[in-house]
Amino acid sequence: MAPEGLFLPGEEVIMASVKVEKLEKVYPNGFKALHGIDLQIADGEFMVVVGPSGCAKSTLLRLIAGLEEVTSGTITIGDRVVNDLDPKDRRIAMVFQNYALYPHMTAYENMAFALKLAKLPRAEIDARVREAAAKLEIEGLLDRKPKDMSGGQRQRVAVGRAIVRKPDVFLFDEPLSNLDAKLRVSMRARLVQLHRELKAGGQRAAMVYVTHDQVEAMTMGDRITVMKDGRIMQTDTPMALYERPANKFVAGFIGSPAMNIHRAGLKRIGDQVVVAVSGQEWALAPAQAARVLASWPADGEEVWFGIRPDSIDLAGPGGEQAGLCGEISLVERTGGEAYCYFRVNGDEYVARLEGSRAGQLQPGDVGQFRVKVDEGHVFSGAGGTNISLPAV
Amino acid sequence: MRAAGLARMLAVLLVGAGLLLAGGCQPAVEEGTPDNPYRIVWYTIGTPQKDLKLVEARLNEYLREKIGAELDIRMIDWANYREKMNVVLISGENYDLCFTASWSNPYEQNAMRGAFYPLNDLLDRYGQGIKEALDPRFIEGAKINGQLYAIPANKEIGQQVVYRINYDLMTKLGFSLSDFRPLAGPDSLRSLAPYFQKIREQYPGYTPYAIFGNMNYLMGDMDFILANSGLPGAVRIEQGNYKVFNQYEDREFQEYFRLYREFYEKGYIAPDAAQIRDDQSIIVSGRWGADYAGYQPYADNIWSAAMNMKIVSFPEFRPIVTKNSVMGSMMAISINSRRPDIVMKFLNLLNTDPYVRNTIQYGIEGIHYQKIAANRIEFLPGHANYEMPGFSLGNLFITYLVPGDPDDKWERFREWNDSAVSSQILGFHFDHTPVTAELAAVTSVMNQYGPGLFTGQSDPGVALPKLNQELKKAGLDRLLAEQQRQLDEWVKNRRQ
Amino acid sequence: MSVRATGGWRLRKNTAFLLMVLPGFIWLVLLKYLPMGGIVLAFKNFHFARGGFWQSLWESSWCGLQNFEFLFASQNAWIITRNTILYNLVFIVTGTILALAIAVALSELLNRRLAKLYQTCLFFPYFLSWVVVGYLLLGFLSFDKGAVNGMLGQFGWQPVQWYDQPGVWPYILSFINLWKNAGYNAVIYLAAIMGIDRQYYEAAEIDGAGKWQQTIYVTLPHLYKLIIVMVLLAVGRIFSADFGLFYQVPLNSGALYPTTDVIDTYVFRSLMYTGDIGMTTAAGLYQSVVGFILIMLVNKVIKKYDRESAMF
Repeated sequence: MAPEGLFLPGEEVIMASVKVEKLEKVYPNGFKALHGIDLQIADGEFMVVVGPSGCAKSTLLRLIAGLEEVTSGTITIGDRVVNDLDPKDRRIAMVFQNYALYPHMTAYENMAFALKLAKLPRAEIDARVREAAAKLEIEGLLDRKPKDMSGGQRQRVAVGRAIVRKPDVFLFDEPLSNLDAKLRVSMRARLVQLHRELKAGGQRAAMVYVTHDQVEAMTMGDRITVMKDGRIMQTDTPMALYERPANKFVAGFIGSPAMNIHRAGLKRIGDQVVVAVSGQEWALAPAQAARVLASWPADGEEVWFGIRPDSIDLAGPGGEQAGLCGEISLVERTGGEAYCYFRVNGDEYVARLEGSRAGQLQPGDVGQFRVKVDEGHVFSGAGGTNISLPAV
Repeated sequence: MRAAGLARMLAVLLVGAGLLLAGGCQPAVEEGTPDNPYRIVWYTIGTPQKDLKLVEARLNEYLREKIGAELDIRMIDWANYREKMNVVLISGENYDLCFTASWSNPYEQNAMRGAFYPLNDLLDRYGQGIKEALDPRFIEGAKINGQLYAIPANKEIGQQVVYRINYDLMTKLGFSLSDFRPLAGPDSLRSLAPYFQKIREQYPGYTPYAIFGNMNYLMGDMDFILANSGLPGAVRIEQGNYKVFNQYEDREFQEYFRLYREFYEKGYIAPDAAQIRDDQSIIVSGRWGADYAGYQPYADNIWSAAMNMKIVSFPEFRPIVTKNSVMGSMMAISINSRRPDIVMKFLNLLNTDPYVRNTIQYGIEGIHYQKIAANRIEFLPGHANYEMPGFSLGNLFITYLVPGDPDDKWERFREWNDSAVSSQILGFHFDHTPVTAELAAVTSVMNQYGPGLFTGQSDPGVALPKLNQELKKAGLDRLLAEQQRQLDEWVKNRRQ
Repeated sequence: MSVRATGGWRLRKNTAFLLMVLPGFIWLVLLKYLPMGGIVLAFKNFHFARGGFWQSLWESSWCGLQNFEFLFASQNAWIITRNTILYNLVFIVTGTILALAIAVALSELLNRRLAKLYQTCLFFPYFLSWVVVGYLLLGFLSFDKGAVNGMLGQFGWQPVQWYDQPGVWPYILSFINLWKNAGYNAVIYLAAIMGIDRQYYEAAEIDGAGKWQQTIYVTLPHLYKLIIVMVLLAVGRIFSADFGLFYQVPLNSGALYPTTDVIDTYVFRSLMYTGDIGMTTAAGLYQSVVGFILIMLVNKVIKKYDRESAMF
């Protein structure tokens, strides 16, 4: 996918803070981790890089940080190509998964360390550390050593250590994955808030945040880059990714529960396009049909049809809409809503229902479901490209 | 290191104790008969031999009938014997017989500590043959306070230092044995100087006098209270003068050090001699002029054969019988032996019965050797699997002659033994327990100064006064006084 | 539930673990605790008796502290004690520093195969016997055939009788000790370094720490506890010297005793004639007791400053 333009909602055009061009990484053992990555991150942008493990998202981060050598391509931070710069000279800061705090130093010393190495005046160091500590509400921890702190506290110190350096770019490498679920949710919000505060305070720091957790990605990122096997699948805002996944992979990766994607056949009947899936035949909406017709798959009619759980609902009393009928295997009730799993002709589906509508549904019942076909996506059978997307 | 040694020792001991408990019940049948022979566990020194069990079995057939005994011979290699026997002794293992000498599994120290069975009565009852076979001075010399604790091997009884000459080199340089002065003490050594000088001039790569850090303490007309340890305490050989003195203050003794120093400075002695212990590579290379050794009749032949070059020798002093020389090879019965009587019967056989004695040394006729005359044998190829150190196995005088031995070998031994003069303190054994601390300190001092003096590396003008001063500080006076006291008592008791 | 039932349940639950501990436990009791009974030897005038070791021990007469006298009787007592402690202190300090340096250097090597090769080379001397080391050294220091004197000769300098120069031996022995043991200790530290999460180094790198600072601020703090344990163990042996190093390497050269004689060599040499087991035991006991006291003291000091790093 071509990178999106650098227009952020409600902001003027700004310079790219991080620009990655044709970046390749080949390890000495011959393994090619990155296959020519292009990515631009704007000043002050919160970019989340997400993907399953092994997709080389961390490698990308480490290359930006300078912890690993670039095989080919360029990395630009600000206006400088940093390929050959030491990490300390790249004006970046990084927060690690295990926080990597120096065990023998207090929180204060940990935060001050980089500044001390950079030979900043003592007063300046003190001011910066105290400012960051106030921001993170860890003033009370400054004299403690890492072993005397909880995971969440260490995490905040690690973030504080990054903040005090006032870098152009913050790099986060799965910083929340060592925390328990509840803490993770609150830290998530806190980081987003922090980002906002930093920007408000005049720092236009970009953030590159690597995670495997799509919920984190969706909730935190200004934009998200989805990666797979060393390639970028799509880069866009969270809602755009959700509503307009560029391909089957992104469609399946983003969103929880995942999109229902099943093998499907395509039939052209005049201007109409009919998709045959799970034994049902549904006509696509005219606009959708036109787009599918425009990029009719070369390899025949075998495609994938994807429909989000949100787009499936219990059928009302009128029965004329496209529908599915299947035996319910499981109903997960979370209070406000319920996930209803059912099976149609061997294909598993999940529907997201409002809690009240799930009503008395029980496993074993046969449910009648209504499908909003116009919210569905058609992916080509071979490449998995979304052929039902409106051209941008 | 010591802690580990102790642990090892005690482990052995624990296992041993366990076995003892397990097998401690008394046998119902009488032991020591051909049907129920008594098993003699015998530790002896030397490289373990492949055919040992074979020979042992053959010998046991004979011994079962003869004395109702069987042998269980356990050989321990030369270098390990001293330490391993220490473990065996201290753990109280139930062995019967062991090799002991002044130089390994030390006889005096162990006997005085009660490790060995007292033999006077047993010798009278079962060892008449030994008494007849051995030169009586062996037994007198080995007795400690009148009690015998081990049977010495009948061999050369005296000790005599001789200078060994590399014959080919000597003749090449125009010397003959008659150019050197025999039996003249320090002057004998000095008489080698012109020869050494010639070597130095004509063969600069050679070592004229090939001596090393292993020291020669046997010098001068004196005998030493602490045998050949080099520790201070000496008495004149025969004067009726029982005055104990420190040999390192003796003028004649000091004369040797001056000579060594002179030789060292002239380059006759290897510059590293004090650090090198017994460097056989120099000897084997033939690039040496002379050294010294302890003599026995026909030793020149043995040396020549062993070094593969012609060796001649001349004595520094006449042969002297000292307690050290009678303690060169002995066999002791363990204090823990259950049947010392049977063991003594075996020792009697070993020293008198040519079949037993020669089988243990040379193996089985037809396998390891063949007889070519009444008392002369030739080795068969099997000999390689059974090469025992003969001197450690009892009476040598009844052993067969081997190729290279002259017919009159044992006669010459007897003659030489008869010619040897006894030290006047033969049979006096010093009990060091009252002065252990002093002895330890003195030993340490001697270790420090000895090798340097005995190789000429140290200047005696400096080192000797220093040595004597250090010895005094280490408690030499108390050590000598105790030696004198015990010696006086021994002399008094002997007169009675 | 009665206490006994609980105990039984525990026993059943932990059977597998107890079985795993058993061999070590037996070994400890058999080879470390039972022989302690032999400590009595240090206070006895050992005399053999019919009936084995314990019988002999039982029948031997008590002699108080007489067996310890020889350790203090000689005017050398001060010298050997000083030598032993000083050498050990030097060995502990230099050994730890060098082993750490080697370990850090090896861990920084990018080529793992080359690192393994270096490691093996450094490890190798540890397996040489001291006798061999002694003669190897003679090859360098021999008066007439040694490589060192050969080199001096090339520069027109007089050859030196090295085995007659007590002054240089503290350096030689310290060097030899390092050469032989540093590689072995380095492997222990290297294993610990390999266990440090790489993220610490990366964090330090981003903070602007160079290799040296990474060593100071990441490696050493992570090895801190291990170093303390190793040093504590060494302190426990501070009164015992490596016999082979001090006996075989100087070739037992008397002229060198002032700087090479340590407690172990002194005991060995002074008991050469008597071979008295009581005195040997006394010497060993003396070393162990002093070592024990020192280890307790040092541990206490460590505890005072850093509770968690103390060994017990």
